[in-house]
Amino acid sequence: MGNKITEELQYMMNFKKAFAALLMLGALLSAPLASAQLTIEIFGSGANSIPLAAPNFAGEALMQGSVSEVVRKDLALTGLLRIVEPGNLLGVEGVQPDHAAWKGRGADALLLGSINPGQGGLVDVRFRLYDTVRATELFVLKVSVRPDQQRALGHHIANKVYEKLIGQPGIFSTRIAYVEKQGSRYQLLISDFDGENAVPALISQEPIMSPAWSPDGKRLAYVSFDKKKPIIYVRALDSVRTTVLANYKGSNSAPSWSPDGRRLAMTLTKDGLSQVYVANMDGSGLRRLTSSNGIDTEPQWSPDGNHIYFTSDRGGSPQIYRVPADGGAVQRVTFAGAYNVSPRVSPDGKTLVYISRNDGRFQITMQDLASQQTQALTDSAKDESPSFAPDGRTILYATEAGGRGVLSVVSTDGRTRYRLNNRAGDVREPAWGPFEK
Amino acid sequence: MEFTLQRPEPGKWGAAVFSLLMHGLLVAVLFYGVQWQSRPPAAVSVELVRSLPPASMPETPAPPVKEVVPPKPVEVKPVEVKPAPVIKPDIAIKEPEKKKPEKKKEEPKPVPPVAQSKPVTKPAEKPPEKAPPMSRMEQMLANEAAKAGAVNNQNRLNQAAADARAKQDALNAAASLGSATGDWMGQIAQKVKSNLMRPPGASGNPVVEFKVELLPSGEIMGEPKLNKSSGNSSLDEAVRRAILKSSPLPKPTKGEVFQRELILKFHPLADGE
Repeated sequence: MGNKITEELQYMMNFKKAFAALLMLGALLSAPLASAQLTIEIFGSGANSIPLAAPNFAGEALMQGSVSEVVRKDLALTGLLRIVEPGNLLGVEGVQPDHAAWKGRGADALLLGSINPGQGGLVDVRFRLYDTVRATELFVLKVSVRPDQQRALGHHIANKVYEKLIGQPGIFSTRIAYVEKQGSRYQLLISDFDGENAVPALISQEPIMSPAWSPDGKRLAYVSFDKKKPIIYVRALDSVRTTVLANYKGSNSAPSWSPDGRRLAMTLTKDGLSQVYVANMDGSGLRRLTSSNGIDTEPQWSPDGNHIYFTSDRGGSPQIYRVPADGGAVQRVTFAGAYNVSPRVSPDGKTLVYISRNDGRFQITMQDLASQQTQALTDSAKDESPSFAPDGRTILYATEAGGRGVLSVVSTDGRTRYRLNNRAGDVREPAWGPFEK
Repeated sequence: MEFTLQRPEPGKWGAAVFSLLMHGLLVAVLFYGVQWQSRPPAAVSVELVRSLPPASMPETPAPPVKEVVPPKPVEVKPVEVKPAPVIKPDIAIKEPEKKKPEKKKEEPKPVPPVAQSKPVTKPAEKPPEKAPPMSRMEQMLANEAAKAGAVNNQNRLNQAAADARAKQDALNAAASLGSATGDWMGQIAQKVKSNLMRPPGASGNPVVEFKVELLPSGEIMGEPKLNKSSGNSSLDEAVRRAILKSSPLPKPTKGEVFQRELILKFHPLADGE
């Protein structure tokens, strides 16, 4: 009897084994089938810009100028967004748009806005951004502004759209400073990022040079020849208060703020040749930073505050060097070419931009600080005074066209290049301000 | 007790045969399993089909969109237009390296002839003293620079060779696939790539991988699933946008090639030229 049981047991076990083997077989056969997914590799990218439709806002007549026009211009200037004409499509803010129709028109995104009378002479502006591909609303925002603020409002809306679609902060509300010479009159002007809306911060019969924004955007340091010699001043922009930063024997020039806004680097000739010095914001605590037998000038603080880049001819030709901000060993930075001046470090500290002489032409050149690879960004001949936008993507600089100074902008990726305003005078020495705090 | 130890084993031969059978079966299974798995990895590079016409457009627009993003509440702002708070990018933003600036000619703007605006004669310093004809120092520096350039070129050449090899591999792999599958994959790659915009600030050689589910019409079902992030949310988002914009994806010429699930692996900053 025990015999029989074990026998049966044995068969049962065999059966179980077979069953398990079958299961395994199934698993083995089905595993490769289940994972037979296609993997498609895609190299590179093919689109240059995001198409956006931004028809006129309803009620634009309530303001002194077209808001949507400002938005469209701002965004188009970046080269990353492309404005799609609405054609016969109608978009009404507050009403769900026909996403498929807008998509069919070629717009991936749609901005709609409306302007209505508000309280106290203000107007209420509401604007919505849609993703027509996903048929979703990305945001709706509302602001109340004075009817004459169409530019500020347009820049503000452009910032919101750009941030949402590109994923980086927009520079449309930043300001730039530059010097215009008309006849014998010099003006230090402050304008919108696109050169429009310029307001003089200083007017003088003597040259004005080297405007430099404080990191908080509230002050400008500059050099003036009011007293028949170059003296560095600091002006607070919310008042007319001006203080003297450096007025030493000889020349005082090329101010540059430290990233924390507490100190300034500058070039002085008080001890002989031009050398780099550092002082506190009120001019106290002056300290000499470089000691060479050549000319050291155009100091520029690196964004991390650790180094000061400057131009020096100590090696025989003008090249860019850097020195620890608290003093120390000087290090040469540029090696390509025989003439490299006016260094500016990108906001992320990874790229250096300067003016390089290539075959007798002075051009904006970009250098990767890690790899030392250089690349000319412009093909003009008389570029000077490069200045990074706070987003690090665009560079403002002065160049010459038709025998006078004009301002131009080029993006570090070469996608964008445009000329600023058509002011009648000779425009030089631009400086791009920081993001508004 | 003793019986259990020395009991006769009547099923012994049957068991042995069965066991042999099972082993044989197992070997067979392994054999076919391996056959299955030795199928070359499905990969194709978009260059293969660069010249193909863009995928046919769908007859039926309006992809099914399930996702509902709750609209942000209306933000009431004070009178002054305040600047937007600075959005911190998720990663450190590097400047893109290497690309050439567009060789666009600075269009000779018709500048209104302005009388008498002489360039400002710059007082005081600024270093631009006239550079003397190549001094010895300069020559040495120039040599140095030339050498550095040569090294860079060599590196680039090596890199290019490696890239070419990788592409050749992908090509071979694709060629060994059924051509219908290869064509289909190429068309998909072409379409999605044409809709991808490389966001500013991306650098290095990031890889982004999405999984998508397709309807037989080629339409993408729901949201693409992020399998592998590049670490740069703007770049991930740009890729997602490109995928969604490409819906419906092209259909294969042979229906049996169709796969419901696809892995899309992007190398957005790789040279796709």
